[in-house]
Amino acid sequence: MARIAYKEKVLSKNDELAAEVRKRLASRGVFALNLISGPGAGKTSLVERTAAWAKGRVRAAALSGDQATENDAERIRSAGIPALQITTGSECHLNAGRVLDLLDCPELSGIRLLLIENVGNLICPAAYDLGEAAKVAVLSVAEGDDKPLKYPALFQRAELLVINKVDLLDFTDFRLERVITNAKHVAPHLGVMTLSCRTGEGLEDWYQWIDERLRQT
Amino acid sequence: MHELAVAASLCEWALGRAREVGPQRLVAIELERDPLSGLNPEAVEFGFQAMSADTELSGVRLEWVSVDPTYVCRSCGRSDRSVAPPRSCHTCGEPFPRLRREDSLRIRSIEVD
Repeated sequence: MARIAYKEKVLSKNDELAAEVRKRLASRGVFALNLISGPGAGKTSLVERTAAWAKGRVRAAALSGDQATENDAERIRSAGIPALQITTGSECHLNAGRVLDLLDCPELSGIRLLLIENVGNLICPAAYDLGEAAKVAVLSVAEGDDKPLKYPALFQRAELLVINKVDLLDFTDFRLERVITNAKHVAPHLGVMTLSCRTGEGLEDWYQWIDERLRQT
Repeated sequence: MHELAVAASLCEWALGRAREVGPQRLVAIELERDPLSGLNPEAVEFGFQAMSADTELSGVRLEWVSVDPTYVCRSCGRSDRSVAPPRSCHTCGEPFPRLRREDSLRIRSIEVD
């Protein structure tokens, strides 16, 4: 019997592909966001709103991941930007290979902003680098305000936490100060933004954040 | 939940190593997992055994070692393992060391016979 030491990541192949995605996006001057949340937090609504804002300002496109259907890509296309659906079947997350396969599609030609809407899931998408510039965690006030404590990995890997559906705050037990405390506890670096895709409240901050990051890209 | 994808990556890697070490036989793979990986080891093993059946990996054992996540200072690069995220670097005081994602699941060693 003999033991041979290694120091290798199991997902190293995904990371190699993510590095290739990142390199190609950088060479094209594209700012890419990876939006991650549980199902129903409002990722698609946020992409729709962002698509409407981007129209006439910046050329944008979206990739939308779901287990089945083209529904989200159709919604985003209706909002005014090209969108490609990635149906993952049995897989609960997007991986870098799926993104790399689509980078040369005509829908992504000449874009400056790429919005990647991951599969609705708070666990697995956090483990996969897609080559994005930043991960954005999305929560809604219809969820528990202890989610950052229960699913810390996503919040620790995200750059920004967007709390959506704040127009429903009066109808739930969700407390903004509690979720922010919880999020900062597991991820002190995390930026936090509150908004409502339904009413438009807070969306200007989101657009401004994207605008600043676009200028830096 | 993404254990099958992890098992597939592991199988691909292990098949490469099994061919490298021939004529010796690969008998075990030692894996480091941090609690933030979100992985259920039993589900990875199930996937690995299912995918490796009828290959040279049939019967290969997976051994799991739990390690604390690593946090790296954005300024001086100091790294520390810790269950809870440190609020600042113990060397230079820079706030909010970042979580090193690369450590969530690693291959530490293989055993050959």
